[in-house]
Amino acid sequence: MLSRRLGQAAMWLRGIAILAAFFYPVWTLHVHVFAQRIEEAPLSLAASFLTVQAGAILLQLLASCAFKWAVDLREGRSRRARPRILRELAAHVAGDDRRAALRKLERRYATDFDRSMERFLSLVTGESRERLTVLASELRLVSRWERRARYANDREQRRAVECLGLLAGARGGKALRRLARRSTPLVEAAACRMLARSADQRGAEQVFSLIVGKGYLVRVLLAGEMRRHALDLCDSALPIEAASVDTRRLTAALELAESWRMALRLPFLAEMMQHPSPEVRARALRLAPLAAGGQDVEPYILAALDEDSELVKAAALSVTASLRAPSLLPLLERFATGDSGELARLACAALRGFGPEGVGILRKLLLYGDARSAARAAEALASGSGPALGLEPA
Amino acid sequence: MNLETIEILVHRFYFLVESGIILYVFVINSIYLLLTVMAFVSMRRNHAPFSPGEREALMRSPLMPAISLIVPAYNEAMSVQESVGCMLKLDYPNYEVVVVNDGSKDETLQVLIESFHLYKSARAPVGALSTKPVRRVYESSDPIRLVVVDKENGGKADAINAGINMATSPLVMVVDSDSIIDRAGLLQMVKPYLEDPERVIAVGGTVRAVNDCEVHDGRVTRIRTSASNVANFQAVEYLRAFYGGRVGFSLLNSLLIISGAFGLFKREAVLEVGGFEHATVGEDMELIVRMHHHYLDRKQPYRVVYVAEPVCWTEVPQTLKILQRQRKRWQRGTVESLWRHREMLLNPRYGVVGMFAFPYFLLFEMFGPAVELLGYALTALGLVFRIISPGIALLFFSVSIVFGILLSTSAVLLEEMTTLRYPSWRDSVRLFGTAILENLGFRQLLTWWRVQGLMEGLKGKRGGWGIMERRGFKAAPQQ
Repeated sequence: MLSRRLGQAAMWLRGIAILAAFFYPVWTLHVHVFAQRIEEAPLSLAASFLTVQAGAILLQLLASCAFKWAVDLREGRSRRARPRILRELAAHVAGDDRRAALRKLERRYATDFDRSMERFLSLVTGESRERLTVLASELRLVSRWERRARYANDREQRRAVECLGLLAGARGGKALRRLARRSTPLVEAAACRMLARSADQRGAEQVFSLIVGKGYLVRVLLAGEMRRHALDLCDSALPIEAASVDTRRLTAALELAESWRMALRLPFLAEMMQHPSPEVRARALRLAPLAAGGQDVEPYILAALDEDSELVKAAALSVTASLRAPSLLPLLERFATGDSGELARLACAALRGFGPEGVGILRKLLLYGDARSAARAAEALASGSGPALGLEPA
Repeated sequence: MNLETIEILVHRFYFLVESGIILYVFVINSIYLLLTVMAFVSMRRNHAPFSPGEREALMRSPLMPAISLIVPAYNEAMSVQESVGCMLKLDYPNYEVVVVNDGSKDETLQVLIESFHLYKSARAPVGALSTKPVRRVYESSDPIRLVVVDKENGGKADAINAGINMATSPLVMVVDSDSIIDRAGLLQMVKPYLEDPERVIAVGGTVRAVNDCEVHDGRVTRIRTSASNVANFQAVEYLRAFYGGRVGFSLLNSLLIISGAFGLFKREAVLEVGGFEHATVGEDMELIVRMHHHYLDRKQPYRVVYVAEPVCWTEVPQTLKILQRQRKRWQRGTVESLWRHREMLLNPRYGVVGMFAFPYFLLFEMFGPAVELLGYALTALGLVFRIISPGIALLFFSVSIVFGILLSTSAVLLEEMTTLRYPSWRDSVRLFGTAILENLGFRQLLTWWRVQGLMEGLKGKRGGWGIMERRGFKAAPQQ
């Protein structure tokens, strides 16, 4: 928050400085040139304004041409250079010693060389990647990437992080760990992603511990990557987070576990379902269908349906269908006819998932319930079945 | 009082008013310039679209929030099939399209039913916003997530509200039915929400003119300037409006408008403030102002963000008649929105919104055209009655015009140095030429229409759906 505010303040200051740089020549021209030729001050000021404006427009036109010309030039160079670089890199990976030629190419086409190296590193593994890593080190690309990862703009930083992450033998690990701890969310996520990709169990635990303390964007970007380590994390990192007093971390950890959508060993789940925080209880309830080992969660679900928190009730309703406990049916019927639209919808969906008994209750609601309940029941009965259920085609 | 005294008094009064107008022009242009410079600094620093690796990670992530795209449609039989088809092809892992047919008098519904194999659905609304009665809800039997809500005519705001009622996702995006969103537009648009899900309640993107660009398979494949000058004038105007103003206001969390053609909202927040307002033609601006009002009243932390990268391509009017209608409607919308929430004006309780954004919009966006017109009229009068010399009049007029040109060329340059959507030299030359020419007649014409809109707004004239003459998207040549 503070860093965001500071960043914004710096941006405003820079903007004001540029504006001042525009007005300064206006004033200078007015005082030193036009005021001596034009008697009326407003006219002199207007004339200097006009001159500076015209100059600024001309400069912009020149800048645009220069920029476009530079882009064309760069693209032309890339078109010529990249095939040569890739050819030499391929030969080097294949076993030829092409360091001399590659060094020349690197000096001449630094940016294209970076991009080609990045592409090649992502394509090869094992010995070939090791060979490229040694080459990158010799050509001082690694130190360049490390520098860029620290100081460049957000886009270049992420690019450098991805290059470092592709190096064999965790060569860029130190820089990545530092960036994963403190940077912008996207750079942190990129660093965590690269660390997780090459991590062993211990490394995965460290990355998991890092990301549960980060923002939502980092977790969204890492959820898929961490799935590979899910079973190991359930034995090591998750129990540690479950013992944490920090509710935000705990919720984030449970959210990640839920996102993996696979059977997990969660011995601490019962405890989480009684946690003082409703967010944690709701997350734990959503995890219940994924818990391996046949834990009896029915009493917790029953208790959750009786809670005041809508969040917890919704979580409980969303998992009831997977339990198929007949004792829950009367409760579901009550929710299906209740005032809360969201809960009623979830209850109807749960009833449909229950099988014949649930469908029977839905049919009853459809025929004898009030308009709202009937509509929800019809929606639940029709969900996922499409026109085949007997609904007339449009 | 003799004639000479009267003449002196008239002269003094004239110069007082004229000086006021010059000061006004100077202040407004300086603010515009500062906002443009801020946009430049911010976009050079923060313009960071997702990399291919990140896009892949997001597409596979089970934590991506679901989005419901709300597409209100009224008499769109010509274009609805193509635009809905485009919307179904976006890169996003978890979204549905909810088209709301607002009692169209043409074949819009029939086209949708036949093109997307719709069947009558039992889907019930989740939200409780009050709308005109819904006749039927349809879903597609194809493996696509398309819902069509057919309802009685009630206007655009009413249609959007009906769509929000039907949406089940935590995020809703409102998109015009004649628009094309960049393939990765949803991913970019959702980024501010992913960064700060607790506080971000609305995100606006950039709208650009699609006229004469080539479209293939739901994406804009060749971006170029239009053959129509009117369309090009608007292309430059859109660049200036989006890059110039919105980035700066977004940095201050005081953005008062998110385009109705392309805006992402937290569904819960829209429901909390009561949805889109039916009784205004500027429902997009009114909603954002109401959100500021609501959250600042309750002292709840929130953010309204603008992101420059995701682009929504829309067909802009190519005839002056339609453009006039559109601009008058927009100006009426501004008047209505500001009038409804006048309590916020210069009220320290509403922070930067009340003390800066609101007065800015009132002084420069609402009354700006009237002041500009008064300036032109006074200069003309001054010349006729020989109060000022032609040289002076020309000099001040030139300063004002060239300032406008500077702002337009700055926006074009900003576009070139950040997103570079127009890659050819020909288009660059054309854009810069347009940036110069639009200040020599077109801007003044818009000013006149906006003054008409202001008068209508102050009189309280109402309006319905804006009528737009569709030409359809230009297809890319077959390979």
